[in-house]
Amino acid sequence: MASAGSGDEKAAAAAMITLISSDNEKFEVTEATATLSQTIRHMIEDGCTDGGVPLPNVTSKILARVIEYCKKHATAAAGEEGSSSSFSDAAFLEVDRAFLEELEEFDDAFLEVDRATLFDLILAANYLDIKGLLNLTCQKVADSVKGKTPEQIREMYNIVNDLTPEEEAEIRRETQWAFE
Amino acid sequence: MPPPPKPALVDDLVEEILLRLPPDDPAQLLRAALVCKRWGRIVSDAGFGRRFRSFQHRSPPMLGCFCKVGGRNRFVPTSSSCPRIADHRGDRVLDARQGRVLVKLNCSRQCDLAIWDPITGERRNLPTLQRFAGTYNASVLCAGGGTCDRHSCHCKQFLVVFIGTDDDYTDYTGRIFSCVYSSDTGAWSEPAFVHPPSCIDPVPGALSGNALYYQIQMGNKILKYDLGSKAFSVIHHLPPLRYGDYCKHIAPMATEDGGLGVVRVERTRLLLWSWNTGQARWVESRTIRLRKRLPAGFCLVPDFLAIPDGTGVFLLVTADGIFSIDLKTLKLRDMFVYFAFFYVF
Repeated sequence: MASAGSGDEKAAAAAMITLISSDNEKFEVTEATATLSQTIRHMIEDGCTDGGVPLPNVTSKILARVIEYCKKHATAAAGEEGSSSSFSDAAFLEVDRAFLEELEEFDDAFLEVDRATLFDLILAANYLDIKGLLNLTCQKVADSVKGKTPEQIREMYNIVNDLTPEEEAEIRRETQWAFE
Repeated sequence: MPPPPKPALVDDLVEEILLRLPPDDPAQLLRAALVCKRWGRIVSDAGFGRRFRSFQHRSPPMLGCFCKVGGRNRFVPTSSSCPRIADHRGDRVLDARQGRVLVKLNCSRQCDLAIWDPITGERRNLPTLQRFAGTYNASVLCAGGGTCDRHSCHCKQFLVVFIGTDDDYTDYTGRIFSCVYSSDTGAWSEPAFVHPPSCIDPVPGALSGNALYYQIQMGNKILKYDLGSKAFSVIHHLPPLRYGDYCKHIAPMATEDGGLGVVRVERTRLLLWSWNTGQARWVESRTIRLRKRLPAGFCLVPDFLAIPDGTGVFLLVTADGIFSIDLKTLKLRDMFVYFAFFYVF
């Protein structure tokens, strides 16, 4: 597998993987981008990516967004590694810093999607096991719930109140731990 | 007719979302639990409470910090959920960790220390340490030491590690000794010594892995105290200055992987370094430029720098106020503006 030779490393970095969405659209991505997904990383390690990786749970629309996220963050991960190994180049570090800020802005803009897309992104991030994306998207939903009453939350997420007064009293008792 | 609801998130994913609700506002969690049966069932589950605590406590909340203003200790709250805490006037705060504050008693012999719980107000005086120390530092930590999982630790017992120079004069030549107090036995250990003479800087020590790290010899070296073997070792060379030729603000810190790091203020930049044990050298990991993060017109040069243990934030104390910088997001918060000089202990 991985070799210590720098030439081989370059070859590995440039290796391409084909991802196939549920609606049969094909996406060519670099291995560095694809392996932000632990699910795909394991498939590559097991050598079962020849002929493309079918992702029956992810539509082309969502997969395109997921790849956009992974491309940006794969570059960031490469930048982080570079910054810790070359420590004599101050200019490089400054550039790196600017890039991290740009990444924050990218994440903010990335989350400007409708609720249905956000939910689909969460499902895809969970299925593909992309921790950064799962954290980003789940935090966005958690933030939207902050400061809202149960009624407001139900309205936002189309949830029907199926609790009886007895069940409500029981939940109040059982969530007491959060106040301790 | 409202649009048909999207396929609902499976329970595991609702849990992922609820885990990210703010830990300092339990009412929010209750409101979420009262949304419907499904959400209520997730929050009421015994395992959820444990996961919520362990998820959120990766970075325990910082409630406030102690500053010295005009010779008087002040407690500055930094969170809205912080209860009212009286200033601890007179006594010098040496260290604070996991809700315990270690203070050196005023108007007392040099080594009279007490542990104070600022939330309950409970105070416990430690037996007098029968040694004089020229320069000294001390840390408080839970009885499990560095091996205890800080996020789920509920240790009732604690340790106090005291290191001092073994002479009565601050002539920078004394050998260093350590004594450990255990609340379990209620007594100080016999001293252990390390011979390289040095003075100990009054910058709070950092706990990382199973070791405490202190800055010594005016910021030129780091002293490591291994809590397991109770042995000292000295890291001699600190990273060379990058910007400028003078630096008085440097502090040891724990890195995410349980190693040693230092953070230093050089001109208007914060530089972070980590110690690579295998190669025995410092590796620069980050540079944070302060100029663009501090409000316009504010003093750019910090007077002091502190890193509250395990919170993932730096405190920058400038002539114009205290700022906290979140190490992960690099977000800066103006915590307190006070037109005086501050010293954080």
